[in-house]
Amino acid sequence: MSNDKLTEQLSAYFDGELTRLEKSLLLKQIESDSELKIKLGRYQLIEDIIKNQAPGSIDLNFHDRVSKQLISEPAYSSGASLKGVQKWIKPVVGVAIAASVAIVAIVSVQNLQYSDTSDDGNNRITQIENVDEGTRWAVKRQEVESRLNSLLFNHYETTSNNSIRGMLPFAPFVVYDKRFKDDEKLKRNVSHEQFDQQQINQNLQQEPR
Amino acid sequence: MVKFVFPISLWIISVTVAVAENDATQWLQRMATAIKTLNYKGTFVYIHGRQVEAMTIVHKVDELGEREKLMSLNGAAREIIRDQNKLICILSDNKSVIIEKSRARKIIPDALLMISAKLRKHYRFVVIGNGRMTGRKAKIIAVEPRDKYRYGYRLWLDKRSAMLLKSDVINDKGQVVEQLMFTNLTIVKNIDDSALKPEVAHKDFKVFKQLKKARVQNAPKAWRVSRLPVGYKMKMYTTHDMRTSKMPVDHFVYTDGLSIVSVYIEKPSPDKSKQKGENRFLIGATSMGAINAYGREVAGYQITVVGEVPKASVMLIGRSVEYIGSRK
Repeated sequence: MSNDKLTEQLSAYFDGELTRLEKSLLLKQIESDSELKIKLGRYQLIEDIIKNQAPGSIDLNFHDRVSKQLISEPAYSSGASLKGVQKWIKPVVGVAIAASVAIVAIVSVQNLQYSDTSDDGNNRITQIENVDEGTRWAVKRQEVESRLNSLLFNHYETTSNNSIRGMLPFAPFVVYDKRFKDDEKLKRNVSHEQFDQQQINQNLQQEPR
Repeated sequence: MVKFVFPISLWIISVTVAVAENDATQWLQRMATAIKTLNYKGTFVYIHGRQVEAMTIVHKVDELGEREKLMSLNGAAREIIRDQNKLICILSDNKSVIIEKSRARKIIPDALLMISAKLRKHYRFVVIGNGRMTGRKAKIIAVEPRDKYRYGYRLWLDKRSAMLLKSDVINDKGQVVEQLMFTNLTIVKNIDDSALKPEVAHKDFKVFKQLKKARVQNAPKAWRVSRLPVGYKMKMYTTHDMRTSKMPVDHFVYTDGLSIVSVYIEKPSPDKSKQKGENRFLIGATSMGAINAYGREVAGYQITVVGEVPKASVMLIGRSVEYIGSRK
C-alpha cells in the first residue's frame, strides 16, 4: 500500500468510515508492523479520549480539521531506529501528532474559534501555543508559583501513600513543558523546576558531592 | 398484604445498594493493594489542567520494600525515583539532582484498604459497569462525593489484577478536571533492579540534599482552624525545612480519609518587593488541574492551603485559620 493510500485508509478508519472487510484488511497490514501498531494504539487511545472522555466541551470538527491538515504537511522526521518502517510511519506520526495537538487544544482552549479558511496547519499550531497560557498555576509572579509548587510537592510527598493513585500524583513534577523554553512570551510562566532551581541556588547551600 | 409491599421493596432496594457498595469497595481495596504490591511497568497519558503528557512508571516490591520510578517521555528527561528512604528527582534541563528524605507517610493510613462507615458518610462507592481499557477487560468504579467539598473519581480497573488503568477526577459540576490513562501496562513477576536505576545521565549534575528530616510533633496551640468540611480531621502536624523558606514551615494535614488538604504556615522573611505592594505569596485562590490552593496572611504569617480537593474546601479551611497566641 502506498503512503497516500495508507494515510487515506487510516483517516477513514479513525473516522469510522471503513467497512468491516476494509477494516480487517487494513488491520492485517498493520499487524505485521509492531512499531506502527504502538503508534496506532496511542492514536486510538487519544481518539477515545477525544470522542468519549475528554474533559470539558469537545470540538470534534476541529480535531478532524487539524488531523487532515497535518497529514497533508511534510512528514516529520523519524529517528534512525525507524528507518525500516519510516515510509509507513510518517503519515501515522502525522496523525498521532495531530491528535495530540488537537487534544491539547480541546483541553486548553475550549472556546477558541477557528476559521475554516485561509490559515494553514502551521499557523493553526502556532495559534494554539500562543493562546495556551496559564498552563500552570494562574498566578502572576514566578516566585509565588515556585512556592506553590514547592508546597504541592511536599504535600504529595507527605500524603501520596494515601493517594488513590499511588505514585502517580508526582506526574506534574515530571512533566516537561517545551513551550516554556521555546516561547519568550510564555517565559513568565516558566515551569516550576526551572524556577525552583533559582530558589535552590538562593536558599540552599550546596552540599559537597 | 399491600401494606408490606412497599417496605419490602424498599428493603430489597437497600440490600441491593449495599451489595453494590460492597462490591465497589472490594474492588477499590483490591486496587489499593495491586498498586502497592504488584510489579509493573507501564506508559500512561496524563491530562492535567491544560497539559497532555506521556510518562512511564516502573514499580517493584521485594524484601527492600516498595520502589518506583517515574520518567517523562517527551521533552527534557526528568525522573523521580522513590524508595523507602528517599526520593530522588533528576532534572536534565536543570542539570540537577534533588534528594529528599522520605517523610512520615505512614501516619495517614491507606483509606481504601479499609473503607469505613465514616468514609461512606461522605462518598458513595458504586460499580458502574464493565468496559475495556488499555487492551484489558475493565471494571468501572465510581467514587461519588456527597457534598461539594470533595472530588469524585471514576476508575477503570483491570478485571484480572485490579490494577488501575484509568482515572478521572470529577468536580461537582460533573466535569472531568484531571485524567490519567495507561496506554500500556505490563504486570510481571519480577522486575530487574536495573529498571529502577536512573536512565538520565547525571554525572555532572549538581546535587542538592534536604538538610533535615521532617519532624512530626504535637500541633502547636497557636493556630486553630475553626471551620472544616464535614468529616475532615487533622491527622498530622510536622515542620519542614523547605527550599523556598528560610524558616521551618508548619504543616497541618487534614483529611476525611480519602481527600487530603495541607495547611502550610510560614513566617515570611523581610523582602524589599513587599514594600512595593507585590506579594511573594499566594493571596486568594488559584488552581492547577484538579489541585486547588488558597492563601492569605494571618497575624504576619502566610497561610497556604493546598490539596487535590475542590476550591470550596481550600477556601473554607483557609478562611477559618486563626492565630490564637503562642501558647506552645
